[in-house]
Amino acid sequence: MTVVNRRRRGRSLRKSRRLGAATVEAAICLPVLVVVWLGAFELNQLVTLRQQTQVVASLTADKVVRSLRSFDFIENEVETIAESLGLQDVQIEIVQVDNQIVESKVTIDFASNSPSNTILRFNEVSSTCYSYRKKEN
Amino acid sequence: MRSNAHLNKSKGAVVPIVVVMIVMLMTVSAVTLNLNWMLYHRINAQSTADLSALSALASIQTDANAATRITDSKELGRRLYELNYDRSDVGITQDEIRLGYLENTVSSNPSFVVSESNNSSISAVEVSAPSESHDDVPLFFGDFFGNSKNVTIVADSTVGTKTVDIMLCLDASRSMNRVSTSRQLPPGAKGIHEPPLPGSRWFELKATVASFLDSLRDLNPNARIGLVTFGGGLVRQHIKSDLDADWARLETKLTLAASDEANGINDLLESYARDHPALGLGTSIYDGLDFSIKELDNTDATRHIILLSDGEQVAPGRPDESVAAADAHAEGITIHSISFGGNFTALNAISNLTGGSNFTAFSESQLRDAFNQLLGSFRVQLVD
Repeated sequence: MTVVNRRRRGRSLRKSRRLGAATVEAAICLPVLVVVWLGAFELNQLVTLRQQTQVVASLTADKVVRSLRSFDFIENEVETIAESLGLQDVQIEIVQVDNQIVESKVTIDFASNSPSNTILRFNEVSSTCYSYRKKEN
Repeated sequence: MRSNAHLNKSKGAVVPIVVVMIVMLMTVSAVTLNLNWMLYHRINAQSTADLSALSALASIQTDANAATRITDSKELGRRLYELNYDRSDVGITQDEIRLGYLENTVSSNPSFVVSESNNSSISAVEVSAPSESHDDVPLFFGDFFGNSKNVTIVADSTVGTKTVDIMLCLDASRSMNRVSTSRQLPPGAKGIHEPPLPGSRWFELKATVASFLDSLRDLNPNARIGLVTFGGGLVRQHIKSDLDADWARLETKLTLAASDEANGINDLLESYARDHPALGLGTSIYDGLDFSIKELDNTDATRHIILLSDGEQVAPGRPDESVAAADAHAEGITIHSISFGGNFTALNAISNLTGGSNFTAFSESQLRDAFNQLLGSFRVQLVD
């Protein structure tokens, strides 16, 4: 083996070792990146879904004030609207708290409404709004 | 040795890149998250303000007790404001809720502002309850962004109401003395009696209207109601003198449902029942509607006519009732028709043209059902 060939072989070996080291580092770092990215994505999804449940809860509370319909009717009506907006497994509960105050609570399952729930593993998202309706005697 | 040193230097080539990427990723994520978080709080603050104003105003409108409704409504608005904010469990500054209508407009007189126009009809009443909420929003990674740590969000809401004006346009012709088809005729009775007997259509109508007024007061004490009759006995005296206006009569001008004047409607129907003056010389639905439309003219309220008749128009020489229906339609007035004792297609056509409901009633219970169903159209209208 000539001197030149020996040098070439040495460079090739170093290059391959460098590549090997980079692959190992990438293999270690990539999961970290993916976890960070997915975690941020899921946290963002949580806030987005909270916004949406807040809007639906507010809409429900608004209907409680404006509509003469029964709570059951409003629950069904708003569930239909929420599902048409793309929310799934929506649960709406309207309860007369006292003579004047009505609680409208909207709950959705996080996993059903988010493309990813592997890192933070949220269970559900809910929002509650309070509004007025005179209690019927 | 030389070779190993070079290799060690090569180690960690990816790590700096990854570190830079993580920092960039977290920065982008933080910005996105903060924007989303601010948007959430904007929605939160806005819905809190809206619901406080809306609820406070709704409670004012549905509470007939003038002495307490102002303070009670203000307290309700504040309570809802706090309830809706407490749930968000972040650092939120609770600010004073301001119900401008309550504090500024009627501080000296706890009733609604009513103004009269030149033709003595009462114009629409509008109230608004603006509220304002401030919300300091703590952001994720706030320290990282230094001065942008807190963002103040302000939401305000103004809600108003639209008055509902209702004209009862009732057939007071002789046939209203007829005993309802749902009842057995009393011994010796042959349908029409003057004055009407208990169990006659007029008695059933009288009781139903009294019940309707009670419900309306409870539902919307600020609605206004008036009464027009057509085919009544006082009409007869003037028909001979060919005065067009006397085919119908404005018995009660538009007045607040919760006022004492509205009780005059009951008194009047009662007096008709005691001594029904109708002699059956005609039934001009056209004139009844025309009087009602004129009374509803020049108001900004949502306007309704409840037309009740136990027959179709019998009024030689008078315009067809469809002419008045077209006028009402052009004015944006809704006519609800109740065919009492039969199904009259002309009445249905009137309500269909103006977007109203039509009902057929053969008994007092069916009549009550019809009026009860109509109540839903007369509740407080809240407008943003």
